[in-house]
Order: sequence, then structure tokens, then C-alpha cells
Amino acid sequence: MGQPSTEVKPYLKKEKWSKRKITRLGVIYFFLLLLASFTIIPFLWTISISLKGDGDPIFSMPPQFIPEHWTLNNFIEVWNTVPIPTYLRNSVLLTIFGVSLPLITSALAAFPLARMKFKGRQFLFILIISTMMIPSEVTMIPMYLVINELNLMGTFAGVIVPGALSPFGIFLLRQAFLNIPKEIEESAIIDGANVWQIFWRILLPMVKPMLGTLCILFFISEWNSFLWPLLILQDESMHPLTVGLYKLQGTFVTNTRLIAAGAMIALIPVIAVFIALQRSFIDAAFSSSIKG
Amino acid sequence: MTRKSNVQNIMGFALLMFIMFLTGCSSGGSGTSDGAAGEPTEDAAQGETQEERTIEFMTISLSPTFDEYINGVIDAFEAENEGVTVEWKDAPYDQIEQLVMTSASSGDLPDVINLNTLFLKKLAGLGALVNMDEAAADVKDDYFEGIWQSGDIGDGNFAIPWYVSTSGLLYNEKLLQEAGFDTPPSTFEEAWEYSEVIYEKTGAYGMVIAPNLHTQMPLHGIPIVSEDGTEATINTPEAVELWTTLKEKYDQGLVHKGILLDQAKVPELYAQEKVAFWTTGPQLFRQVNDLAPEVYENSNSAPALVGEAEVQNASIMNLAVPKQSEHVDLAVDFAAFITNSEHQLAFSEEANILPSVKEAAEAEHFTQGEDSDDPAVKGNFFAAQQLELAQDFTIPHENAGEIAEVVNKTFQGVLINDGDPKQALADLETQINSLLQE
Repeated sequence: MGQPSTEVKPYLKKEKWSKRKITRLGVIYFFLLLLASFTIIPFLWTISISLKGDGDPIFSMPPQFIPEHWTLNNFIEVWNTVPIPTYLRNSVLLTIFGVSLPLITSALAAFPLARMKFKGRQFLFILIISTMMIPSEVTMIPMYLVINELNLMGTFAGVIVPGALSPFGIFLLRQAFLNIPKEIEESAIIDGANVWQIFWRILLPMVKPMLGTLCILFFISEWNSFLWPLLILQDESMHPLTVGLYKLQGTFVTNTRLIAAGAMIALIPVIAVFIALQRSFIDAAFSSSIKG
Repeated sequence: MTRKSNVQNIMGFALLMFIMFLTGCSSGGSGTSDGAAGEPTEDAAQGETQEERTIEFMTISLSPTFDEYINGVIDAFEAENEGVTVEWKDAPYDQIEQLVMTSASSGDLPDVINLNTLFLKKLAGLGALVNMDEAAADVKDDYFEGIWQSGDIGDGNFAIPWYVSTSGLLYNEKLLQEAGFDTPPSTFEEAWEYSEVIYEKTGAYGMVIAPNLHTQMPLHGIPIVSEDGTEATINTPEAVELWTTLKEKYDQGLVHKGILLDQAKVPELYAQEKVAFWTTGPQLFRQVNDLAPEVYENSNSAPALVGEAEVQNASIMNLAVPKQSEHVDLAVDFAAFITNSEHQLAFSEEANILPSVKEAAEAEHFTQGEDSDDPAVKGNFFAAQQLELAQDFTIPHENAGEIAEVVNKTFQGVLINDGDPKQALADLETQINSLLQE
């Protein structure tokens, strides 16, 4: 793994700073910054709103970016209005399973699809992939009925079970396994490794970037899932953060500052996870070759 | 080396958690669902004697703001009825339809459901709800007649009306003064005259034409469908005239396109001083205060604009009881209990909304506020004055939602694509009639 971006720096130093290069980089960076600001301004705007005091306008011309009477009261009020620790605990629980289960099942399913020869392998794979074409809205009511029949209504299991298998995850991991040269495996077999050892000790570590990527994707979708937990969990004390924070939206008057503060509270873990896993995320995006 | 053991640790941990989860949830998980709403109803019925009954009550977005009030009413009801438990649940407004539809499919609907009028008609049309004309006949006359109708789909009323909001006019005094007006407009005609001057002098819009034509047209004395809900009544010379006028205003640039297409939010535009007056429920006025306190400072309220017909639109929240409820009578009793005069008055005092019960509306609370500095309080006074004129304009048919949509889409098309009002209304009539026949 080593230091990130080690290859890039010397390259920058070596090349002379010619005029052409400066303009070229300038243009590239300008567009990159533009793109970045498009994505980050709404986020900064939300932070700004969440810190605004009661006297600060949210809509004014010109917009007020820096709150004049900045305050942390909105966060405190959110904390006092809804039981954040309870919701947080539920979200964390749901997410741990909502990430680990599909990861495990995807790895276990992708390995034979990529590496073992058996009849109907291709067909099976296409069957799994084709389920990705069905929009989740279509399967929602049947899924609800199944969960109801299984007596899993109002349990965390009812929320997690439908997401425990991910065709998307199987697809990506199969691709990752296919990219690993056969020779590595063969040499392991010569060394006397059995199938499980090959899977566990050799292949899995080699697809770590992809696992990290999936981890981020599963985490984001699980952490932000809203409708399904709302349908399954009747009991308020079991609601995850996303569902719980919805309570801040009143029937009559919605306090925008509180909503912004709530959104920030829900966002912090996502950002933390992304930062923690981003290296493997980037790795996966650029992993075209395998470092011996 | 470290890499290997890391993955191993993570995977090992995940597996461990998985095993713990499987063992833990099968024993502990069932405990949470005992007697919870998710249980199939036959289980619930078995353990209950006549004395011990549980009903489930679902509201829209009232928690946590009104926890104290709702729980108070529930406690009072439980105290009056020996052995009765009311379980209260609250759902977000945007999700209520989905929630009700999914729980209906598995047969465990709440016993008393808070619904908006459009969705109520859809459910009533499916034959899922109890007819309140019969079930609550004894209290029917306590409610305003025009409001009681809200659950009507042509063959009976399928809900008890709960809280109501009629409109007031919120206007930006500063903008009006800049345009040279000291008093707010009171009729639609006047409002258009104002709009022209305001737009010219300040660049702000006056009249707001929102995509809610199905409630706007009756204000001009043009009902969308006949009272018995059998045929379209929209294709009249008056309607053609109205649409032609509105199209002229649009061509003059007096209609905000974003609002017309439902892409912009009126309170936000009002807060940015891009809209000078806004007709809506006074309980929503304070939204402006949240967004732009200064603009709210400069605002005042007046009675809602009136058209040719001396009526006002009422938005109504209803309580319905599904036929599949285990305890229909008890559920109806509870719905009547929470909507009775005493409890509605208490709710109005907390929430700045209006009651659907005549007696509550006569309370002193609604005769105050005319001189208030707060536009929301003042607006509420005006809104309460209009309860007698209030009618629910939702189409009395199970396809009310589809009909409203087709009306709005056609209207938007006429304005934006430069259509012919006369032709559009003729086509619309055909479309509505076919929707009514379904």
C-alpha cells in the first residue's frame, strides 16, 4: 500500500514548469474546482443554516452565508426534541448488519461464480444480475408480505434480511476475482492450499479495494435507507436516525434550522466512514493492475 | 502480514456479530413484537376479553410537537372507557399513503387513521372504510355541514372531519407601499390590478397561481363536477372566460412560472420578497418568519381573497375507520371523542388551526386576534370568520386525485404551450367524464 500518491509527486517536480503546462493545469484545476464547488456548496449552505440564530434570515437577497448570530442552539434543540442516542444506536446496529451481511454473502457467492467450473454457472450469474433490473418499488409489497408471514414485523431482522443478499455486490466482486491471474491460485494449490484457504488467504486480501468500495456503498445506502425501516419498524424506539429525524418536519411550520442541524448530525458518520475507507475506494477505482 | 490479519479480524468479527445477531434476535426479537402493531390481528383478538380492547391510532406529523396534547386526549379516553388502550403512532406526511397501502395489504391497518381528503376518497372508493353517516349519525349534526362532506364519494361520508384550515391573506406591506397601495386587495379582480402595478414598480409578483385549479375554480363559482359526482361541470362560458383571463395575465408575465409548475415554493419566494401576497392557511404564515424574520416583520394579514362565489376553500384533515378494524364501534367512538368540541378547541389553541365542530368555533378564542401584531394570529381570526363559508372542494369521487391532476395539467398546458382555453376545456370535460365513469 505504501504512501498514497507517491508516483505523482516526483513527476510534478521533474517536469519543468513551462508556461503551457501552467495554463493547462490552471484550466484543469479551474474546472475541477468548479465541479467541486457545485457539490460542496449545498453542503456548506446546510452547515450555515444549522448554525443560524433565530434572527438570521435563511432566504435573503443577497444570501447570508456567515450567520450573524451564530449559535449551537439548533443542535441542542434537536438533541432535546428527538432521542438522538437511541436513533443513533439503531442506525449503527442496522448498518453493521446491513453492511457485513451482504459483504459476506457477496464474497461467498462471487467466488464460485468467478473461479469454479460447474454446469449452469453462466445462467445462474445472469439470473442473479437480472434481479437488478427490477425496481425496488415493485418488490416492496411482496417483500412486506413475506416479512409479515415470517413474523419479522417490527424486528431489526425484518429490516436487514431483504438486503442481506446483494446482486450488485456479487457482480462487482466476481469482476474483481476474475481480474486476479490464475497463476497465483495455481501456485497456491502447488503449495498445498485447499479451496477455503485460497479464498480466505489469497483471493479476499487481493480484492480488498473492492471490498472497501462495497463497504462504502452498502454503508451509505443502509445508513440513508428510510422507507423500508419506516414500514417494518412500528415501534418508535427502534427507528433509525433517518426515520427519527423526520419528526423534525412539523405539520404546520417546519423549523428549517433544526432540519439542517439534524441533517448534519446524520451526515457526520457518513463522512467519517468515507474518509476512513476512501483510500481503498480510490484504489478500487484505479485498480487495473495487480502489484505483485 | 498485517493486511491479512486485518481482513481476518474484520471478517471474523462480522461472522461473530452475525451469529450473535441470529441467536439474539430470535429470542429477544419476538419480545418487541408481542402485541405490537405488526402482529397479525387474530393474535391480538384472542388474548382480549370484552373489557380489554386495544385500538391503534395513526396521525400525520403531529409528533413530537403535540405529544402532550394527543397523549392527554388518549388518557382521557382511556379513563372513560374501562380496559381500553389506545396505541398512538405518528407518520410523516409524505409517507402516510405508502404506509397505509402496505399495511392494508397485510391486513393490519390502524383502527383510526388520520387522512387528507384526497387519499381518503381513494380509500373510501376501494370500499375499505366505515360509512360515518351511519356509524356516527348521532354526532353528525355537531359538525359544519360543508366540512362534514369532506369524506363524501357520492354515496355517503366515510370520515369524521378533524381539524380544518381556511385561508387568510398574508401580504408584504413594504412592497405594497412601494407600489402605492395602503390597503391589501380583497377580491381576485382587485388582486390582479395590484399585481400589474406591483410587478411594474417592484418586480415582485402579486397573484400566485398555484397548480391547484381544482380548488381555485369553485371560488369563481365554477365547480369541477356536479354535486352528485356524476358529470363534469367544468366546460362553461364562465370557465372559458376565467382561463382566457388567466392566460392573458400569464402572457403579460404576471404569473410566476415556477409556482405554476409546482417547482418553486411560495413561502420561500415570499421570504425573498419576490411575491407580494399569498393566500394560505394562517398556520403556515410563520414559515416566513423562520425563513426571513425581517420580511415577516413587514407583513400583515387580511381576509382571504374572494371571487364571484362567496365561498372559501377549506383544507380538512379527517379521521377514518377501516372496515377491517377489530373494534369498529370503539374506533368510531374515539374518532368522535378526539374531534368533539372540547378537544378540538384545545387543539386549536395549541396549533393555530380551526375546528370542524360548530360549538368549538363559537369559542372566545376565535373572536380574538383582530388587532394582533402577529400576522399568523390575525390571519387566524380572519380564517375563523370564514368557517361558515368554508367548503371542501375536493371532488366527491374516488378518482378525485386523478381528476385534480388532469385539470391542473391541462391548465398548465394552456398557459405554457399557448393553448386554446375553449378547446382545452372541451377536451377536459371528456377526460373528467371518463374518469368519473371508472
